[in-house]
Amino acid sequence: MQFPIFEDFKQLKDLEFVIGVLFFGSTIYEGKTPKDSDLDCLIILSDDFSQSQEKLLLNVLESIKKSLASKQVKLHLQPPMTLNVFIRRVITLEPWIVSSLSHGFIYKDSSGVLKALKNIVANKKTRLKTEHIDLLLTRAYDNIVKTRKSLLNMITLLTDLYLLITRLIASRDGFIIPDPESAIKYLKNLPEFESFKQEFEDLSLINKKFEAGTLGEFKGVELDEWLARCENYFLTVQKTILKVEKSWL
Amino acid sequence: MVVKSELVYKDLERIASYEGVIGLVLYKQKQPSVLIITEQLAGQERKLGIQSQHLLITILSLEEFLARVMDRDKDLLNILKAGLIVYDIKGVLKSVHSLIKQGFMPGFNETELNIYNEILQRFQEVKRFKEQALINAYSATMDVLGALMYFLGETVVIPKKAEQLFKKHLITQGIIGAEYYKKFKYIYKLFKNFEKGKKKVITGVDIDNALKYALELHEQVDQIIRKKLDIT
Repeated sequence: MQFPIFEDFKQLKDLEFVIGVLFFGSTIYEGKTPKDSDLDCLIILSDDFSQSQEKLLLNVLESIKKSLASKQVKLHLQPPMTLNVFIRRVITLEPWIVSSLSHGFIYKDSSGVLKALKNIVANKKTRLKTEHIDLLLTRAYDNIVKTRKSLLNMITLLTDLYLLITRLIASRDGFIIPDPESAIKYLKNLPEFESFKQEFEDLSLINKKFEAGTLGEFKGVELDEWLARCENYFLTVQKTILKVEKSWL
Repeated sequence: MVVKSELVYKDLERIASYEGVIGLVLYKQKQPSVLIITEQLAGQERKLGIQSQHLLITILSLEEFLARVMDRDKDLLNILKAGLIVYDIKGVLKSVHSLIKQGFMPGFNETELNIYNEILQRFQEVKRFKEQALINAYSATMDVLGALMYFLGETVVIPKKAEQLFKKHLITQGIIGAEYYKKFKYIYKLFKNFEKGKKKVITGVDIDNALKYALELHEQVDQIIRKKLDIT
């Protein structure tokens, strides 16, 4: 595979501490001219890559980027990694690394490691294949479960929002509101905020259940409902503050 | 606050030299004034006879001063906020002053602005969470599809080809039911519209559906692979 733009990367070939250069992404996979498209690139560095070499590398990359920009090609550079990190990530079958290696174009491989790993991955040995599938499925499942759990954490954030909005009114009166209980107590003295006090009490109860670990689920639709209530509370508080300020004027 | 009189500063210098005086705040109300903070009880200091012809004097012991700060005495805090700390041997005045400036004292605009910004930040956090939830559901879906494709000897390397691959390899070959293609398409389109900026707001319903469909796809693909591998 040869793109005219590879010429721009020639400087990388001359740098000894650059062990490997890998191009990947749709530009490479589809073999199209990377005009108006990103050129994905991964640089692999020697394990003893030093800080003094970093400056030189950054200069070279800057000049490559400039040269590519003049050809309307955007270089999408992955954070460079040392050879041992790269090997570790291939061994642990990190999907994008494996995919980039399998389908990408090796531009430089001074140690021969990239080609060797590419062959191993391409051979799809049974154990490797099963491990890869397992890894993808486990990661997908973990991602879904983690996100569902994070939805539960939104209850704390919503409670925090109610507390902060209450603090905004209370600050006017010189009150410090340390926690939701004090906020609800404070709101009891403000009849015009009765409905918000009720909402805050309800949310605090949900939060307590969450903290006790007895709340099974909190759905996105519930998040939206509470968020709308919060926004309404915030708007009402802002209007009240404005009204008071106007009356002062 | 500007008090230019040299005599005032000479007086301040003299007051600062009194034993037990630990802080001075110069401020101007109707006339140039000074708040004196002492180590001892104010009454005892008053007996020392701190006087000035050019400054109106208020004396507070450190304990009295701190008690009034705790009570959020607005007059005192306003003096600290607007006044000039000219002497502060213990650093207490500067600490309280920075608390006001940083917006930690109720009743000040700085505090309200702080709270206001925090509220806006929290709203942003919720928005970011919803976007991240969609990204997670999409990533999970692509991983599930990737696993199945890899199992069949194919690899999803370009996300935009995923939809085509799904149809070509999975539906037409009867590997997976058409209803799962619909679920996949829902997540894929939702994410792509968000990525391209066509969908600006991610709703709770979007998240619920995306997560539900991603999980159903995962369960189905897991079942297909296990069945083919004959793993029970």
